[in-house]
Amino acid sequence: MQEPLSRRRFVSLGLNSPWVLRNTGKMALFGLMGGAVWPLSSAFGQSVHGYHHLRAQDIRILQRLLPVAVGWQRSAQKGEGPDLELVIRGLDEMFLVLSEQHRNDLFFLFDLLTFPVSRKILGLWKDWDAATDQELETMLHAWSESSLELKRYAYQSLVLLLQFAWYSTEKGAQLTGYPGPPAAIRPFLRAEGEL
Amino acid sequence: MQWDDPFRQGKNLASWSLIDGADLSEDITLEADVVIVGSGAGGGVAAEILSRSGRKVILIEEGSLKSSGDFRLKEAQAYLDLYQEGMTRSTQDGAICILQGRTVGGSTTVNWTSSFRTPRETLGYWGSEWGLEGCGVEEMAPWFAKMEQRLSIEPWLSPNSNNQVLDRGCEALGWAHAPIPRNVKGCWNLGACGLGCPTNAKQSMLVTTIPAALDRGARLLHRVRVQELIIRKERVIGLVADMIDRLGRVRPFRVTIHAQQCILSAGAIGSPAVLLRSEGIPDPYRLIGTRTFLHPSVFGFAEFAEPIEGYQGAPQSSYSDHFQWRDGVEGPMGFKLEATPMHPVFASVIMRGHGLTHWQRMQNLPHMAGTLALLRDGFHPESTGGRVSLGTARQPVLDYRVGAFEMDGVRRAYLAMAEMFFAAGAQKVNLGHSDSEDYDSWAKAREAIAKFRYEPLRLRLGSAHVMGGCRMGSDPKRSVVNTKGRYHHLENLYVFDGSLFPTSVGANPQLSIYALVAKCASELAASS
Repeated sequence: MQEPLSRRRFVSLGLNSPWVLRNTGKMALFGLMGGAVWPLSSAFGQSVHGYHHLRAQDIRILQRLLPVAVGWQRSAQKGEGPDLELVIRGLDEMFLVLSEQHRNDLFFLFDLLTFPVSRKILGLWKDWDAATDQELETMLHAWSESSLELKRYAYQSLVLLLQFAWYSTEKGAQLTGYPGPPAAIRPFLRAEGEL
Repeated sequence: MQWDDPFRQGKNLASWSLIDGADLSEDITLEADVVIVGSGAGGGVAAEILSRSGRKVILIEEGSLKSSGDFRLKEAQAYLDLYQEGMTRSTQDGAICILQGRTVGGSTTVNWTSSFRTPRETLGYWGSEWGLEGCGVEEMAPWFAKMEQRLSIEPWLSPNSNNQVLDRGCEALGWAHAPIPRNVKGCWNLGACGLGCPTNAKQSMLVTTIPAALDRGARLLHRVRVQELIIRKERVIGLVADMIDRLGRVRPFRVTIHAQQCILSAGAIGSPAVLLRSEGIPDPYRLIGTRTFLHPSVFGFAEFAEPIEGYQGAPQSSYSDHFQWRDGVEGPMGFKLEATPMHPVFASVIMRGHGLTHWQRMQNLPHMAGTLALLRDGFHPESTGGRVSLGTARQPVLDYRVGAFEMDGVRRAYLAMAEMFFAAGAQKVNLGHSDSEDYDSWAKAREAIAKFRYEPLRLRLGSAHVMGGCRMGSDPKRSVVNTKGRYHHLENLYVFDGSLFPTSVGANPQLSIYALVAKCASELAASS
């Protein structure tokens, strides 16, 4: 049960087999839907100095998806907001603590969103540089509304992470009106150089 | 001062034995009378009681040692440092997010301090259906009282605005509601319980039982993850553990511990996982890891004209059990209504959605109230819970299916939350479901909630209470440990944590764990 499954066995098990879900990366099934692109490896791609996990193409995807996922792009506060690079660096830190399964699922999703064939299956027909915010939002909406549990899994695992990283920044939190830690404790935090 | 950090300024600090698995550079072997795996509610209480009995105790924690001086009230830092998988742990299909502590003190370091006695209905059900002898209301009362005193547990009578909403709504509707007892002493009412208490007001294991055990010579190993027990014939002779580095990765060094008694207190995912990883563990009825319960929880939100500031003040101080038992202990799923803290990161992830709708809701955060419903799983034949098994890297995986029975409870919980909010004067209400819009009247909300698609991954489901998987009972064919917490098939192995429960508790479980473990550990301490 431990060795990787062959693609043939994958196909014969079918998309909804709970056995497949139990023993492999869930996102691998998207690869199946793409036919020719499975299995993909996260080993390819250009690493970026200063990042533990994210590669150049992942960062490009995140730069485009982040503002759409949190809704900032269409908001009246579009001119404000945290430095995207800061948010993405926070995301990179998060990958350190994710479970191996969760991490692999997300890398696989990034891979699928990178390759043109699989990207189209996931609902994005254009390159990341050419797609409009509206098209990206349509894609996320379609994942959220999909009858396929796997697409909803992709939606939840990615959107949750993006929102987590966004509101983790001081600026992201401030824009909600959150005033920061209560006044009573601030002198003690400040004493240690935290504010 | 009260907020002196016991791990930085404690008066006995110099005599404490603290070992950080990230620091050592060779394999080590240690010996003890008792080794305890996990430093949360179960491990902390057991460590204090057994070290007071004169036993040499080793307490092992896979997370790191963080204490009040480290708690800076920053959400991301707290979630990444103090929670399993940075607060992104989930059930296998990703449908339920699981919040569990992973730090010295376990979940008690990061919980919201709600401290309920196990409901009498639950204790009765455990006795009649699951053969738990000696755990009736009368028999447990002194153990609850003992732990309430030890941890300064008392009802909290100054609810923040978010909890006042719950009180007001319930009052208007004639639903029973009451203050929540909390384990705090000199609480500053900061509202940061989930981020680690910076003033040591929260009477978690980190500042109570663990320092007491260390004073008595117990040794604390942190950043050390137990892999498996070493079993010879009918006994556990010790265990083997990996050292973990500062980034959470397994290091090439191991800890071996030989002990007379072994206690698993690694929580209802960790304890079954250690058992399943242990070669030669007798499990003739294949019960380890079965019937794992979560109190699956759903969320509701409401906007008010006045500020609510749900990130200020004690996060949970009011509750309603109006829907908990009224359809019978074994009837349709009951639920408990409580408030949820509303810090930006936490609020953003429990509100399902994205884009402009999500943004606009977040922009109203200071005026938004948040509530949750804890669904009571495990009391009905259709509610069999989940199962912990091992994944390909021998890591624990929890398979928990949310079916029609649970979804019926979810639907009724959404209705209750919406009705409560409008009764409390909400202007708009939304639920943590992809089909939810912002409703401006109870009639509209009621009509819409009936039509939601109740399928996994269309709604935000969370759990902060993992229970079961090593259930207690007198019959080895139906239970994993006996009514003293001893493993049925090995003479010196014990399970002392929330995995003992045969069903969910029907209330936030920390006091249930404290009391049951105090009872079991005291019995063990009194044995020769």
